[in-house]
Amino acid sequence: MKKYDLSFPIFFLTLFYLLIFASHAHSQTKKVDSTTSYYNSIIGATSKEAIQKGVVFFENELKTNTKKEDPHYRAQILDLISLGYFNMGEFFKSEISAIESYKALDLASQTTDREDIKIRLGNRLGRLYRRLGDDDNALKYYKNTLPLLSKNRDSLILSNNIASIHMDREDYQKAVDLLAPFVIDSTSILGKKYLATIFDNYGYSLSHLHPLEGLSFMKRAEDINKTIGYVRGLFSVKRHLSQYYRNNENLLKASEYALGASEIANSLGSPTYKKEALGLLIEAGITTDALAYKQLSDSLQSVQEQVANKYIAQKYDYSVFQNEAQESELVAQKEKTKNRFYQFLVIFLILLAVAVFIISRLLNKKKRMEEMFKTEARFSKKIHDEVSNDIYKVMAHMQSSKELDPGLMDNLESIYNRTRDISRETSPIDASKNFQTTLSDLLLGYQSDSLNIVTRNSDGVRWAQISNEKKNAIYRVLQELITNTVKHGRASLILIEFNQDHKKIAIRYKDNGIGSELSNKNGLQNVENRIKAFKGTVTFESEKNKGFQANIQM
Amino acid sequence: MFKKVLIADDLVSINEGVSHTLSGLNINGAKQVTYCDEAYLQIKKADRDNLPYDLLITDLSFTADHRRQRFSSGDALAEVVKKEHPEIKVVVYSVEDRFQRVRQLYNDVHIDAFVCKGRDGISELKDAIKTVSEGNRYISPKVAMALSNNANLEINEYDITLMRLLSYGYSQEEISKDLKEKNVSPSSVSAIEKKLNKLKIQFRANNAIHLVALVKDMGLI
Repeated sequence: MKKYDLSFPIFFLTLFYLLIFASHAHSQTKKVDSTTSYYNSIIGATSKEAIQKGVVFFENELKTNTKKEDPHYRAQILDLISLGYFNMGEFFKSEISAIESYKALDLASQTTDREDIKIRLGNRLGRLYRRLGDDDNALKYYKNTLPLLSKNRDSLILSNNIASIHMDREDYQKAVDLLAPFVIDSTSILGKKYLATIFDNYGYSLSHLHPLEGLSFMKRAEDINKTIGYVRGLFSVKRHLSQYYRNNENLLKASEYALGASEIANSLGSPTYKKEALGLLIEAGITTDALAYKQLSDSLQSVQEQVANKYIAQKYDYSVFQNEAQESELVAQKEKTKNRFYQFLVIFLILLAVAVFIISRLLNKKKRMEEMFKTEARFSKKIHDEVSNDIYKVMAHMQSSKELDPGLMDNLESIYNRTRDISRETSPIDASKNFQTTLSDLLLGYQSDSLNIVTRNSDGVRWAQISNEKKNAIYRVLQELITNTVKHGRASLILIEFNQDHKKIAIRYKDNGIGSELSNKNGLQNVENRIKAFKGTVTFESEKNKGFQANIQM
Repeated sequence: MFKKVLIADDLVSINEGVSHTLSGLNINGAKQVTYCDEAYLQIKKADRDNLPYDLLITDLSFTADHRRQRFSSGDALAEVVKKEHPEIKVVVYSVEDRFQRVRQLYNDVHIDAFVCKGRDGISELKDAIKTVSEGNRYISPKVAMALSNNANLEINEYDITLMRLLSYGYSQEEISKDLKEKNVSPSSVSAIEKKLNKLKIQFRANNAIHLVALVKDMGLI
């Protein structure tokens, strides 16, 4: 029968919360919509289901919100959760949340609402310890909270709650002492409800010391409650009056008030109130319906249990849903990772294949070229060593003999020269050495009384930047072109012009010969092949009596 | 004239031919060897016996066979002989006509003559021996180009400018004036005349008109 303390703190809580959430509204409009709604469902305490939803929502917020590490934010939310549990009658859970909120507050920086939260928590802890029957702890929290209060009304509420503990302990003197200052200064009490409650409790306590004086306060409380139509307050007063009259052996009056209380309880439809009213009736001796009392008691118990179970079930559902969501997300994530891995693998393999292909092609090309040069060098040496030398031997032999046939000698020399030319065209070049000299040696070799070779900008090419293979090719190309000019062109002048653009060499080759029909003669075909091997280009121009020109880019 | 001559060639018939040529020059009893190492030993022995050779005629390429040689080519032989016995004259007689190799032997090894084997080889060899005996050096006309400056081939921007101005019909005086205005040097009339003569020779042009016609045809101007 601990109905003395009433849930006053809600009034100043509401205003405060609205302020918090309003300040967040700018950045998180959508979120705030649901936040506000859930907040209202807890604060408004409209139905247990609504509170449950609110609590679940905020517990989830605590785990997922980006600000979840912020102690101040945690303290606020935990406070709210604690209130929700409290309103649902889950005092243990409310206690846990409140204590956590308390701890978070210690870590939070000093803010204006820090004290407010502390006050609310202290008051709530006091109330819930009281409900749990731990009056010592309740008193401790109340008394710790009391010095924090500056507002008159707040200290009134808390003092009233402390007084109700004293009343329970039948320590009426203490209750009277505590409430007396408020009663004396009753004109400053704002709100008739508070006034009625103070008068009610003060009067009931005082009635144990000074029955008549106490009674007058209770009567005044009854009048005020009747005037403002505060039904719960009226119930409380009627209960006190019934008890007062019973204590003072006036069973008639006691039963009268008990019936009045019972009426109110029935009109409220609250089993808790009904149970209390029934208790009063039994005490007043009006009814001996112990069975009804027990039934009410049982049904109350089961209602509470149902609510608790329902809540647990909902919480369980929620966590199951959350688990499923997490699991499916995990699976999706795994799938995604797997897919990505395969994507990377495929890309990697493609790149690898391309790289291997390109490298092997390059290696092959290089190998083929090296092979080509080797073969050429081998033939060159063979022709030189085996053919040229033998022919020369014959020539030397003939020269030393007495009878010399000039025609035979001419033929022999011509064959000797040709073999030597073949050997020269295919002999290896050391392109790594001073290439400009190598090149000018080549040109000087063709220089004669009837053929003149002029170069332009040959010193403008930085041969060191050019690969040996390319230099080799350029050497061979020029050799081939000059041979062509000598054989077919009947030219007296050859111009070779060089230009370099980074690693690209441009060569203009021109003679002043008779020109000729361009045909894919072996020589020019070779030139083209050698240039193409370096992805270069070549164009040939020839016009009768205008000479021959080749434009090479490689 | 040389008294004691050593001939090194792996072909006996050539050795014979050379020996025959020497006889024509009143040089008899030339020693013939077919290996470079043998030639080296002969020179060393003769030197020790105080009967040193005064001329070495050597080929460059010697066919390798089962005998391991310290000196595998005439290049190496010529080099070591010139280094250890600089008083011995060295004539290289070879089919080699690559300028690089010729130049290297002539300029770096300091051989006294380079004679190309060929139709005129024997007569050139005779000339070479005579020339060397007189204390001079000899090189076959066929490879003489190897010693020429490769800048002889190249024509530069100045040459082009000169020929372009010539093609405008400018006199040498007018060219000189134009070059002076453009701050190009040399711009003196005498320098221009000298340069133009050189270009005529280079392009084998008979006169200035011919020169302009040639370079225009070549697309140089």
